[in-house]
Amino acid sequence: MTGPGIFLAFAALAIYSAVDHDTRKFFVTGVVVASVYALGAIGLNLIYGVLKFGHFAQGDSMMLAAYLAFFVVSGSILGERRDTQVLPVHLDDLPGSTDPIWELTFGYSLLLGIIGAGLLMSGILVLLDRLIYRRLRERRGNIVIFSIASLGLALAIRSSMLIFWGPNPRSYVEGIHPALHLPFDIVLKGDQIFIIVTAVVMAAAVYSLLMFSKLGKAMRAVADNPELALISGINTDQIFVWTWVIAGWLIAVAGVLLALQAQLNPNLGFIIVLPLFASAILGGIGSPLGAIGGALIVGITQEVSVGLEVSVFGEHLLPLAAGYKFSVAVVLLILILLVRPQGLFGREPA
Amino acid sequence: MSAKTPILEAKGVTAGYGEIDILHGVSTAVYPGEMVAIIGPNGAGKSTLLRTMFGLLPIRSGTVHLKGQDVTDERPDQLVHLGLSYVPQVANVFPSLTILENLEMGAFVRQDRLNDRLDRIFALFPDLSGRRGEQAGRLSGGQRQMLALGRALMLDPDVLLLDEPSASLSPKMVEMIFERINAINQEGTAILLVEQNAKEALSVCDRAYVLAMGQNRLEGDAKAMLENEEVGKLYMGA
Repeated sequence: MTGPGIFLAFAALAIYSAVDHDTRKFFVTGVVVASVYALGAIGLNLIYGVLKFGHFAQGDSMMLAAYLAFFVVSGSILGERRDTQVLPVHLDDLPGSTDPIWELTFGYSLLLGIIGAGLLMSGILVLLDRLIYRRLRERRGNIVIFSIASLGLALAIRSSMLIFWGPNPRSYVEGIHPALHLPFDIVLKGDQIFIIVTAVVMAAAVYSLLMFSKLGKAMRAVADNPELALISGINTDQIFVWTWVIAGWLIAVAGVLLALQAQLNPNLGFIIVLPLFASAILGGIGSPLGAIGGALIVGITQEVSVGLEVSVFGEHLLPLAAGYKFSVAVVLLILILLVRPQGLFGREPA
Repeated sequence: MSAKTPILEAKGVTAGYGEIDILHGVSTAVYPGEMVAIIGPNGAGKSTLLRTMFGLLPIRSGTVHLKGQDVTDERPDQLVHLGLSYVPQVANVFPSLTILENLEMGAFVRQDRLNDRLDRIFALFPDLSGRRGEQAGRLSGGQRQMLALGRALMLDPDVLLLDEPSASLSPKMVEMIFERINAINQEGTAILLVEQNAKEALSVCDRAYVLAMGQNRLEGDAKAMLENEEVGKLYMGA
């Protein structure tokens, strides 16, 4: 029963950091970061569950989706001489589309941009499945072959972002934006509230789809036993395509939220692959719901480790310098794999 | 009996895994409303024959006909549309889905009168009725076998392929499962079943085939085969 123990230890850390005034802002940032990780990790677990491989291109796909949203919104793309060109048709041209909504930094053009990125990303993933993964399935490639193929795609995707948008980080909306002061001394930007709310809505939508729709049940059936699904009359090829479509929407929304929280940066996708896998594995690989728990643990622990002061025998253990925070996910992952390899919410291996 | 055409017929089927052939020209026929057993020693190719007829293994030579239609190498999810259902021996339920969801997946390709068909399954297997929301992975061996049968029956198939329905069940459960299979057959579904438990199978079936080394060894009336000395010696430990 190590699962509940780990969970309680994390809950203690979360509550302590939330209550303590000095660390509260790190806790709040942790929740925002966790929202992004959760969507990315749900997608990872969905792909792992149905298609049975670790999708290493998840982070880079998220970033590509963020750039696709940027592209349809601003029309910006690098020209032949590496200078930014603005295409004549883009969403920001719509009347009033850049007027900030409520306390957000952006207007409805970015909301349309998310939809555009979702459509494009789903299409790209379905196309890649056709071109690559389906061929590997027909040759009965094992999990390693699939994962290495996705790693190769990750590199290709990152390079394509460098080609089309260059190495310099960008933002959807330039400038400095003031934060909101909420009750309990919580300081959040409007965009961060948008991130949390959108992640919750998206996770709830995917959960309902998986639990209650015919498609979702069939996806779970294929995840359980692909051959029995085929025997039952489920066209498993179709289920694979739908899985990529849903993963594409999760990736697109997660990617735009990531770019809102951090920035558009071609290298960021690769950096967050590790926390995403840590979240997915912590929660229990293949369990979309577990991914949310895993993401909360990774996101909050990672951010709090930068703000919490811990000394052991006079040696300062924490806080970490900010640059080290991504290593926290990996350390957590190693620790939990040692004591509970199936993940917190995963089933005991048979 | 043989005036009619078979509802399911395999002719000279050769198939196997990888480079190795397991079946060497096996033929079987099931007539409408019949219950037919395939018995034989371990490794005779009984399960492989069912898997091959259901499109899970490529057929290297020979043909399979369902209701007069050539379905050689047809995909399993297409065969289901044509009225053929199959219950594998192991891994025959979706463990993380509930009982109700398992049955819904059985009916994936047709949604009409779903509730009527669910009612029929729950009437046939009252044990399942009270636990609709329970995960299938938590069921006992016997209940799991009932759910597997129920899933296959959700499409109201014309022919049912059963792979060792009595495997690893207690004697009491074996009796109960065979009684249910008989009831399903009485309602008009033709059944082709593979059994290790030859005595039990022959006593409920109309006809039987004996398979050995991937070839037809014997075929005939099931009750007569029960009396057959050679069969008794070889496959029933008598």
